[in-house]
Amino acid sequence: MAKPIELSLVANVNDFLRGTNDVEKALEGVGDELDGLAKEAGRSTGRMEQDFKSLAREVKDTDRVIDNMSSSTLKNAGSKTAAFKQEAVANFSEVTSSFSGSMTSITDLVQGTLGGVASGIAGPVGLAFGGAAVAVGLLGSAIASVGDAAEADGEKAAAWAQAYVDAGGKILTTAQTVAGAQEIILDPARYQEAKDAAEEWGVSVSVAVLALAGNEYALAEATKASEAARQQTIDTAYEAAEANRDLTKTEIDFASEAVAGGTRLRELQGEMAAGAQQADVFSEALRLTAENTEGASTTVDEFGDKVTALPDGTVIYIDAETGQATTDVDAIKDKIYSVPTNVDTTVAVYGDFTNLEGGLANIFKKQQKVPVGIGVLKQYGTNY
Amino acid sequence: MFRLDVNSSRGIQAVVLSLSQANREVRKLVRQQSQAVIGPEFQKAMNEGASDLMESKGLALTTKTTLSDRNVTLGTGTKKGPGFSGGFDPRINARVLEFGAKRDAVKTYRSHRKGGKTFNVTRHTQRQFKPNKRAGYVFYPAIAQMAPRILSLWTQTVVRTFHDAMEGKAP
Repeated sequence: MAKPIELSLVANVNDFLRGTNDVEKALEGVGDELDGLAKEAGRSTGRMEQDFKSLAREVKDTDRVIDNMSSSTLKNAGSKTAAFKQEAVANFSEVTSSFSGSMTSITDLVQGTLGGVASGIAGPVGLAFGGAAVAVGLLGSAIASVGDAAEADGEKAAAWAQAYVDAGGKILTTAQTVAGAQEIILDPARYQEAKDAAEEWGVSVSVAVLALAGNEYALAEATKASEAARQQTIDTAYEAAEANRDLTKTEIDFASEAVAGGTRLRELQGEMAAGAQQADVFSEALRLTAENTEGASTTVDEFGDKVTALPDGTVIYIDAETGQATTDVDAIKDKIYSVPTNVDTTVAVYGDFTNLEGGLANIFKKQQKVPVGIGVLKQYGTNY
Repeated sequence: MFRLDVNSSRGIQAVVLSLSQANREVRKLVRQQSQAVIGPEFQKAMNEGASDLMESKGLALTTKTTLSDRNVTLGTGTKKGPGFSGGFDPRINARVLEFGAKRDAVKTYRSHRKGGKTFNVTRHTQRQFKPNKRAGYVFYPAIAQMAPRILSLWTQTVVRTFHDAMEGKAP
C-alpha cells in the first residue's frame, strides 16, 4: 500500500552530475571564476589580484592532492594546508573590505568563497566558514524565490507605474502613500508582510508599512537599518573566519534575517524603479505628442517649463528640471504648493482646469508667487 | 516548493561536486557527521510541530533523515512506531495524519438482530482525524521551516570535514 512520506531537499542533482561529464574540469571552471573575480577587484588594489591568482593556482594543485588522498596520506597533508589557511583568511578580509555596499556584492562574496571550496576542497576553510553566514541567507532566499516571483514583479511594477503616472513625477504624493499604507494595514496578508519586513529590517511596523507604500523617508530609514544589519553580518563572518570557528545559531539566524531583509528591500526598490521606468515611457510619449502635434501652441513660462496646448484642448506640461511630462493639472498644482508659502492669504482659484488653455495655464502658474491659501487646499483635497 | 534546484545554488553545486570527488572515507565521515547534526535538528522540529498524541506518535516518532553523497532526504511514517491499540500503522497510513482525512466519510454495512432480521448500520469511520489540508500538518511545515538551515548545516559539515581530513585529524 502507501509508502512513507519522503522528500529530498535538493532537486535535479543526478541530472546535474550526469551533465557534468568532466568533474575536474567543472571544478577548474570555478577556479577560473575566482580568477575573474581577481581581475575585477584588481582595479582597486593590485596586491589583491596577486593573492587571488595565486589562490586559484594553488586551488588547482590541491585538486590533485585530494585526488590522490587516501586515509594513509591524510596525515601528511596537514602541513600543506596551514599556508592555505593563512592566505584564505587574508583573502577573505580583502574581499570583505572591497564590498561596494550593494547587496549584490554579497552574492559575489559567496560565489567567490564557496567556489573556492568547491574547486579545492582546499584550505580556504576560514573563508568558507565566514561565507557560510552569508550562504545561509543565500540558500534561504534561493528557496523562497522559487515560485511565481517574476510574474508578481511585473504586476507590482505596473502598480507602481500607475502610481507614478498619477503623481505626475518621480515622487509619490503624500495622499498616495497614506492611501497605500491604509490599504496594507487593512489587508491581513500584506500587513503580515509588513510585520515580517519590519522584523527583518529592524524598524518599527509603521515605518515598514510606509516604506512598502513607497514613502521616501520610510524607505531611507529601512535602507539605513538594513545596511547596518548587513554590516554587522559581515563583521561577524569576518571575525568568525579569523578565529576559525563555526558560527553560532544566533549569528546564523541573524545573518539569514539580514540577507532576507536586504533581498526584500532590493525587490521593493527594483519594483519601484521598474514602475518609474514604465511611467517614464508614458511621460516620454506625452512629450513626443506635445512636440509633434500640428497646430499645438507651446509657451515657456518663467520657470522654463513648457506648456503645450493641443488643438483638442489637452494641455501637456513638461517640467524643465526633470523633463517629466504630465497632463495632470493636479500635478501642476502640487508643484505650486511645493514652493514654501505662508498659509495665510487665501487665493480662490476656481474653474475647470482640465481644458486649461495655454495662456491660462501661465496665469495660473504665476500665482505661485502669491501665498496659496486654505481655500484651494480644501478644494483639491491635497494633504499637506 | 521546498526543494532547492541544484542549478540555482552554487553553494550546493560546490558541495555535490566536491563530494563526488572525495574518497570513500571522507564521504563516509561527511555522511555520519551530517546525520549527527541534521537528524536531531529535524527530529526536534517534528516534535515541536506535532500538536497531539496521534501526530507525535505517528509522525514525529517515525521521522527519519537519510544522508547520501548528493542529497538530504527527510521522511516520516518510516517505522511502525511505538504501537497503537487499534492497530494503526504509520508505515501505511501516515498520510492520514499529515494531510488529514475526509471526516464526513461514512461506511454502511448490514448487521442483524438476535432473531436473524438484518438492517443497515451507517457509521462515520474517519471522525478521529483532522480535516484535509494539502499543505500538511506536521512534516511539510517542519520542512518549510528547516530546509534552508538543514542545507546550510550540510554545507558547513562538508567544509569542516574536508578541513579536518586535510589536517589529518580524526573527527
